Amino acid sequence: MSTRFYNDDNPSKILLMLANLGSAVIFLLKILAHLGNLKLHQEDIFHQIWKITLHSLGIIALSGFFVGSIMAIQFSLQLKEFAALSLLGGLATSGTIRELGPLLIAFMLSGRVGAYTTSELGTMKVTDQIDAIRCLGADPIKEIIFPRFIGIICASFFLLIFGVFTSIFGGMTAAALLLQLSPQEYLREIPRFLNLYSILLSLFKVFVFSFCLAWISTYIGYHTEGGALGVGKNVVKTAALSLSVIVFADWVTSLVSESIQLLFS
Amino acid sequence: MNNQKQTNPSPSPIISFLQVRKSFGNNVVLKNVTLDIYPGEIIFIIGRSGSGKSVLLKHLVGLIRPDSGDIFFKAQNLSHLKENEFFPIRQKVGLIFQQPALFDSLTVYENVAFGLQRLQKRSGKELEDQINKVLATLAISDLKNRKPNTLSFGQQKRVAIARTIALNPEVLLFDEPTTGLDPVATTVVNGLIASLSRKMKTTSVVVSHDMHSAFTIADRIVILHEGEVLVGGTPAEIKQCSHPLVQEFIKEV
Ligand SMILES: Nc1ncnc2c1ncn2[C@@H]1O[C@H](COP(=O)(O)OP(=O)(O)OP(=O)(O)O)[C@@H](O)[C@H]1O
Ligand SMILES: [Mg+2]
Repeated sequence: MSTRFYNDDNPSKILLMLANLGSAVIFLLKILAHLGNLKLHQEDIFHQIWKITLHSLGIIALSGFFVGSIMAIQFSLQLKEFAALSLLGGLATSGTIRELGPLLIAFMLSGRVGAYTTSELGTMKVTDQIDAIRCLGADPIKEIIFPRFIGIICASFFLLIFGVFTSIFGGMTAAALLLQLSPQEYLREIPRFLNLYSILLSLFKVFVFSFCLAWISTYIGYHTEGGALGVGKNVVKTAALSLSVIVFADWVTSLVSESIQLLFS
Repeated sequence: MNNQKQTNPSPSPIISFLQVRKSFGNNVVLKNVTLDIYPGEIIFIIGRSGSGKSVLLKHLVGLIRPDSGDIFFKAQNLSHLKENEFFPIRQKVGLIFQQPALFDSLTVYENVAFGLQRLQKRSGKELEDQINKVLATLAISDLKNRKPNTLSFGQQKRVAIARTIALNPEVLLFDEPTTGLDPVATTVVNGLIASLSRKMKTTSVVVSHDMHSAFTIADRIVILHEGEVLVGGTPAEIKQCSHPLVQEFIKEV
């Protein structure tokens, strides 16, 4: 018999997954039960929003800028052929807002905020801090999970809006430097391509993605076991799971939004 | 009526474990633990690493539930209580974890304040006085505004003790309180446990590997082995015990 340094006494992967899903749903309901006393947690939530926003502002600015310029360059190749470069700003911006913006920001956040949240909560769990909260008469879901959950969702909105502005700026810069298109020309056509529907859709997507991210990272962090090694494992788990869930959620929301659009047109 | 008070007072136990069994998967940690703990006594629980001492203590505050058997605290059965039904119990039974388990985003002062604000709804001057008093008792007043990650392990342990004893619980559960402390701090903590028991009639359950402390302050010593209570008795009785494992433990004292 060989020595095993890992644990694989899992009875059945599917059963385990279902059990996990069930407990994740119960966990979510316990978090949402505190929605009634948002006011009570105001200070904590603001603190979390501030922390998360500050933590990710730089990376979002950088990636927003480059996504905007990549979109502008890509669209310019086709628009040049039709001599329709004046439409560039509008097309690149609406493309970013509708699709790439929310997805990219969610990716960035799952790498940063998701991983950070899981490692922070996981460390609290394996060093008995969460049990200590219970012993000192408090509910850890209310004290530490709820503010983070709401914080992640709210901060994502700010970061999306911020990211979209930097992407417009990135596209504008690329257009000016590479295509000699003036900023005025770049910005002029944006209103024509951007309707309320696509803005709302974008906000809705960000809500769905950040909701998934908040749920996954807090659930996995809160249920960490097995010391420092367990924390490391769970950070990886959060990153992998949240990326796949976000892509899946993007597919679902795109599908649903297409059908809604068809219905009304 | 009980006329033998001076020889052997036997009041009813404040805590009773009755045939408690607990396993994690295939790992049976507590097989059949039956143990009575009496009000005001200092009882030491000794046992090899991994024998389930920490698991035993966690049962008393509802962090772990038994698979079977009963646990009584003052005639109330704890084994089937729900999480929120444990809140009143946690006001009376304080656990000091084996790891310091301090909240790393809070200062020492805020750590000690945490339970006082939540379990006892204290605030203002009253809160401040209580915190300062406890910090002074453990000789850590100068660490008040430091964050836990800037403290040594021994200092963190003392903050953890301060955080729980600040609540003045009736029962204190210490999980290896002096492990990692220097001899001076060890004497301070042992003296504290003894004086809480004498002055405040606090019941103390102390898990420890430190036989010297056990023989100094314990009223009773219990040895946990293979999921059961192997022997229990006064320090003098334990010294007389011929069981090889017991001898192994007391050899060094
Ligand atoms: N939450 C848990 N999940 C699974 N197994 C656990 C859990 N808690 C404890 N155990 C197992 O229970 C056994 C006893 O653990 P416990 O921490 O009570 O030992 P201990 O007597 O306190 O040891 P030490 O002196 O090293 O602190 C160990 O085998 C441990 O792996
Ligand atoms: Mg232990």
